[in-house]
Amino acid sequence: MANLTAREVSVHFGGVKALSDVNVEVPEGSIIGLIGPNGAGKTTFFNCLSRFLSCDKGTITYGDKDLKQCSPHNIVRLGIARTFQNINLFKTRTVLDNILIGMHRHIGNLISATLSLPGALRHERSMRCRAEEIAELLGMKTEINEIVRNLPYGIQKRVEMGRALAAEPQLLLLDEPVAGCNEEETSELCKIVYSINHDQKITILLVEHDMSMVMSVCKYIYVLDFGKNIAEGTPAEIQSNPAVIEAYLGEQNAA
Amino acid sequence: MFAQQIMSGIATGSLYALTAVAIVLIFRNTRTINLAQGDFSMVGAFMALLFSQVLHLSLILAFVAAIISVIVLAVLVELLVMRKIRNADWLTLFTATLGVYYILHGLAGWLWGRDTKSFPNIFSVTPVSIGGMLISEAHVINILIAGGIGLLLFLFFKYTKAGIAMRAITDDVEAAQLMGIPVKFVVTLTWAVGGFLAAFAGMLLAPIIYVSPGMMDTVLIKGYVGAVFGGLYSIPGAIVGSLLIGIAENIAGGYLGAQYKVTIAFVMIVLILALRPRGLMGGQARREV
Amino acid sequence: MNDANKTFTIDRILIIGFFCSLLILPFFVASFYASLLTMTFIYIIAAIGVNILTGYTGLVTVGHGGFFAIGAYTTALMGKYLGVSIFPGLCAGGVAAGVVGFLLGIIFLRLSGAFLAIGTLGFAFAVGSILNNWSIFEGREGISLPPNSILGFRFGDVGLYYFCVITMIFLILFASSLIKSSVGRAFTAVRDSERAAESSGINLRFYKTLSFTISAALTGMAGALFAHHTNYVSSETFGDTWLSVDFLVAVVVGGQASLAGSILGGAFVVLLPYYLSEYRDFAFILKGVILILVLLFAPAGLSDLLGRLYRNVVDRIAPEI
Repeated sequence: MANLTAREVSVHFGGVKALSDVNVEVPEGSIIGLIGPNGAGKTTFFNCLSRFLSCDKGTITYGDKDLKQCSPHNIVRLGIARTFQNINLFKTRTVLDNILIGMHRHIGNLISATLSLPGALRHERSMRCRAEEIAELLGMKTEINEIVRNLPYGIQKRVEMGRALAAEPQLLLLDEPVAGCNEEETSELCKIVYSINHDQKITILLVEHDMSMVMSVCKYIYVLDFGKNIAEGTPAEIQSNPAVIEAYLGEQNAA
Repeated sequence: MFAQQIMSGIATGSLYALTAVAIVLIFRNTRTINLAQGDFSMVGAFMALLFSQVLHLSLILAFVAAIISVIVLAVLVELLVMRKIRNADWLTLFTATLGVYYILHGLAGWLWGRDTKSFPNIFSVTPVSIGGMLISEAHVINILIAGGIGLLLFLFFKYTKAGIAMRAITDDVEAAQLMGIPVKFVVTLTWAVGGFLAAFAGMLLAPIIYVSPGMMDTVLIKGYVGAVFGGLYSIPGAIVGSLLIGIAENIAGGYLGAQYKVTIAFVMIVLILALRPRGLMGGQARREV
Repeated sequence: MNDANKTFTIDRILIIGFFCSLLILPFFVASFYASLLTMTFIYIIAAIGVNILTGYTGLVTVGHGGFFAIGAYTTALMGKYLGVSIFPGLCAGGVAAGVVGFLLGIIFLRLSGAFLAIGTLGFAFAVGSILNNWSIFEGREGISLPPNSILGFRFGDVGLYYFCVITMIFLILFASSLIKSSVGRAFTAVRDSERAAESSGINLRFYKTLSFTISAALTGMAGALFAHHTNYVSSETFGDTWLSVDFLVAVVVGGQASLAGSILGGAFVVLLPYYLSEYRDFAFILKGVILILVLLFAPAGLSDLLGRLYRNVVDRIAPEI
């Protein structure tokens, strides 16, 4: 069973404890939520998973692989892909190209690709087909040849997801996929996320602020505040958990 | 002998520092790698010659007139060129200063000729004995002048409104704007200070390196070694780096031969950057280049 | 036909037409022009090299003159001491420059932006210095190459023109194929977002180094061709750092991340000083002014400007195709 297991993950920045002994378990095939007020450490945790940050303490394993031994560009080879909170796209390129780059894991023989040998060209064509399928799945078929930086924010968010899906991951880390989206876009993306999990059997770890999305798609939720676990449970349990309410109210008061 | 080389290294190094500090100031306030900094100095040297030899002004007046000319030039460059692209990426900014470099080179060649001219030694080169070492009077005065300018800058940044404003926009442009600091004016001021430093560098170096359109080309790269030593951010770092390259090239020149003076600068740059990408003394996090 | 296919077909026709006209040109013009064009082809190849690293991978270099020199001196020394002729000399020049490019890529891996540019400038100066001071390179006196020949047959200016134009066409095709491939996409990914690139599985170190290597090799080959063009190398031309800057100017003025840009830029950098060679100072001034004008008004380069004009014209002339 390829479960993602993070135990006692801790990260310091100078004197600041960004994460302290964070525990998260993502069983294969599930959609797990990770929530918490701003600054709770959710993105920092994701950056540990992607290996953009080293954690000072703790273990992170996916199946039988120790993630801490991996360099950032090898994470995707283990079947883990992610999106970014402030979308990180290749802005000067088209939607199609962005998705194609997401498929980098599968590019095959480099020399053959560079020289455009027939085998590579065939491979390229099949990659393009697959990219078009992904674009269609995400409702971006008409924009597929547009340059990303000219597209509206909502579409850019989907390109980001398309790029992650292109890698054919078994585990997808989504960092605030509906941030900045309106109700209609949010509900569309909810359906897409659910379908990715249910139809394509991709495990999902979801960081989100939008509670309607979290409560409706997640099976189990972890709550972080100030870099620590403060609660975990099913959506119903979390909604009635006093510590969680306190953490969010505290944020509201401060705002 | 060794100590003497160090001293004369410090003397030339302190003049390189004038260029290095200007590079750092302009970079930290505008993200611009100013390739025309050397040519500002070159114009200063030519202007000094023009005012003193053609217009027969006294040396002091010629100096002052030259300084004013270079400041005006720097301000014009900022207003006419750099301001219009101030939000562009750093490569655009850098290439624009390259354009200015070409224009100044061409103008200098056209107006004043490409041959090398000599510059009068205002300070005598007779050696003076200091602490048992023989060092030419000119060197001593150069160090004193450069040091004096350094002190002036320090006081300027610490105690004057304009200086404090310049530091403010280095750290956070938006915050500075919100506090009512006229950012555009301060940017122009930054270039003006760069011009001021350039004028001194040009006129003090001119007796040593002679006057020609290309006179500052190698000095510019040495200024960059110094600036990079400070991570393109720290003024003390830039000063230390410039002194180091002045010393290193003198020692290399003395023991390996004069032709290696220039090689040393480039080897130093490559080493510094290879070992410490952010410079040896500038560890600060700042906006991405 | 839809828009993309229409321009694609017309593009293809024009490009093939252009290459063909280059091939038959020497029959129609004085051999002197052939020589000037040869220079242009050489600079175009160098500009393509620089563009791969700077335009496509986003690593700004102001030091490619160093690779140009390495390519030139490799073929010169091999010609002088080993009697090697132009084709192997060209390959050797490319390989030598590529190896140095590989090493430089590794040394400068952690540098970015302005710091990288300064580092490459330092490299170019260092190469110039070494050429001036190490006796094997004969400094200013320089090294003469044996007359150009292939398989024992000597050839002159026109022969060299053909050699260069064919090499250039070949390298353009190679670069085009590279850019359209996954490797080219990986390069632009590195430029646009290192984080996104890494999470897509792109090994930054590998691709940056690869880009450095290919870029250096191309510019090195240009240098080797230049050596055969002048049949002479000396530190006076090759130790000149402003070569590196010229290559960057070619890329910026012509257009970054664009092969057409490299062609236009290369032509600009060669032809401007040539046509104004009597007015050297004026040529400098004009170069600076054009550079600044391009940055102010056509920051994506002349190729972008002309490209948009061209598409407008094509739409007007052939809307129904």
